[in-house]
Amino acid sequence: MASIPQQGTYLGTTLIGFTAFPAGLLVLSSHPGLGVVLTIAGLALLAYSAVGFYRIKNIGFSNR
Amino acid sequence: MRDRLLIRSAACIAVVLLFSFGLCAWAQTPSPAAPVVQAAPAMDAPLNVQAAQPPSTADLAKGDPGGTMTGTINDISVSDSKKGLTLADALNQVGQNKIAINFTWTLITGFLVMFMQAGFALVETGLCRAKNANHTMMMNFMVYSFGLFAYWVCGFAIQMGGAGPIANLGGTIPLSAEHVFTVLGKPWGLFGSHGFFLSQAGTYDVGVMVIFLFQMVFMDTALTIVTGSAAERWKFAAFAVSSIFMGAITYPLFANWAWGGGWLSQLGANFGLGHGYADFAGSGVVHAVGGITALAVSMIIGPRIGKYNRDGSPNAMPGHDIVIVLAGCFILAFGWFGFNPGSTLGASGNGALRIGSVAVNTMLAGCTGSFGAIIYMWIRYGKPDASMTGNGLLAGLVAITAPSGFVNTIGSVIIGLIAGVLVCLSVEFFDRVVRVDDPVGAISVHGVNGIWGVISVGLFADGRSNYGGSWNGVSGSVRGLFYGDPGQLVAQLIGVATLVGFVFAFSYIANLVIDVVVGQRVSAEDELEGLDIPEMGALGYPEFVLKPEAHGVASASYASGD
Repeated sequence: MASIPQQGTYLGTTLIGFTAFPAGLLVLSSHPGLGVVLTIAGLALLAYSAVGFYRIKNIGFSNR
Repeated sequence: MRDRLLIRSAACIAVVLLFSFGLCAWAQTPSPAAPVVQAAPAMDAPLNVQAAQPPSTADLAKGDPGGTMTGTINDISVSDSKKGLTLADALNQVGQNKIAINFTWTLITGFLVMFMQAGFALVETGLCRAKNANHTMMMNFMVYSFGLFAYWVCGFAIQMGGAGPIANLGGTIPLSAEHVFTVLGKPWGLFGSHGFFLSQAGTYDVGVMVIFLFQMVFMDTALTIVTGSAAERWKFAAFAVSSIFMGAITYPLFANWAWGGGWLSQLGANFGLGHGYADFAGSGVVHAVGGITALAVSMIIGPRIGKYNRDGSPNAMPGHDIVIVLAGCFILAFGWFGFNPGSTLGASGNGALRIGSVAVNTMLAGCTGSFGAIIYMWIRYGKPDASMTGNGLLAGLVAITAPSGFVNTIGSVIIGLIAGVLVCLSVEFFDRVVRVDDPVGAISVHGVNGIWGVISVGLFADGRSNYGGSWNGVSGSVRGLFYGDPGQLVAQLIGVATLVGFVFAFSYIANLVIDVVVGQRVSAEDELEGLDIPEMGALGYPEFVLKPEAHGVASASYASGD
């Protein structure tokens, strides 16, 4: 599969999720509310990215 | 008779008086051995600056072509203008100057290491075919950004969050949280936890920033090794995700164990194995981790189309530009003067003056590494192969990275020479026996010779270095088997076992997951076409005419000359 726009989208959400998840864990003790939101959002974005990548994984593979 | 009696009496009195005077005089003479005790000047007492004879404004106004009037007592900051210059001011300036020297040294050497990315980019791109030039260059370009970001988010905290004070950099006290577990009654450091986003737990600190920059460029060096071995068939999105993971988790974990106060570094203090795992500048931490991860990724994505025949014999797939390969090697050799001498983390204090020895060891090992490779190739294949000679230089530099701070020049020459031959043997071994396709020889240069460098510390460390009187919490200097400490070799071998056992398995599983989710390899059509257009949208050399595949090899020529 050649590069397609969805890959850029899912790479972007991966980066945001990867940032939000540890940030949430970090502020969990000082700002519990914000910490929970960031942690869950980060995990959700990472999961969304993984599912997205998986769904487009084999586009264009005709002869492998 | 009376007169004689008077004279005798007078004589006796005179003798007694003289004797008494002598005793008193002796008693009053100060002992020459008695020290003269002087009261120390008060720290806040004004100093007599006239004694320093600072240049006058009139003198300075004439200019200072000889540099004899610049940098004097006039340049010392005064904390209280009413008191004027005090002893405390002078001593604080001395301390700050030491740290300033070390900051400057560490930062500039870090900048040199950062420039090694350019060297890696040229070497890897030159050793790949022209149809993949843009893709290979872009992987080397973006690995810097992906790795840096991941390291800032969490990699640095995992690696250095519990490293403890670094005296050369003024303390770095906030890096004080190492998670440990206890085995056999001894603490085993696993990972640090101060320094997430460089803004947590006091890590917004000048010393921490310096060590972050220096460690970050090391981490990026490890990451860029993988892009070479996986070149010409690695899907760009998968490369991005894999690099983020390696910069965030894989590299920081092993680096913590070796450099961040982790369990490998404590093998000496806890179990009496030499000075614990000793890796001065990262043959193991940087190069072997990169090379072993490169092996794992290369095994997962498989060889390039056309690399192996049906009978398993390999085909040569030469790179497209040996000129930029050798130019890249020179850039890397230059950058290595940041890599190894910079690992003293300073040029002042705690044995940091050994930077000269470290730099010379680095030069010599690179030199003999290229000797080893060129002579081996010349004898075996009849020609002094350019790409393998370049790899020999790099192999020597990789191998000397761990021992550069602990060995003498004889040791460095031997280590480099062995590395130069070893890289040639290793390339043939992986190509023909293991059948792992590695377009640039990264597994052999960095993985195999990184391991050789780690082992060589346990053999050649001469016990003459002195970095503040101890290493890894064990007093004295690192000493290898040939200089009387077999325990050091055992510690190094435990490090090698960890690299091969843990790092390989961890990297393999992580990249297997990425393969399942994202897919590591491009399609066969894209690979045959070349990855520049399908993956990057533009050719690296748009004015070239690329010949069609012939035996798996695409050659390039100028349109006008073809």
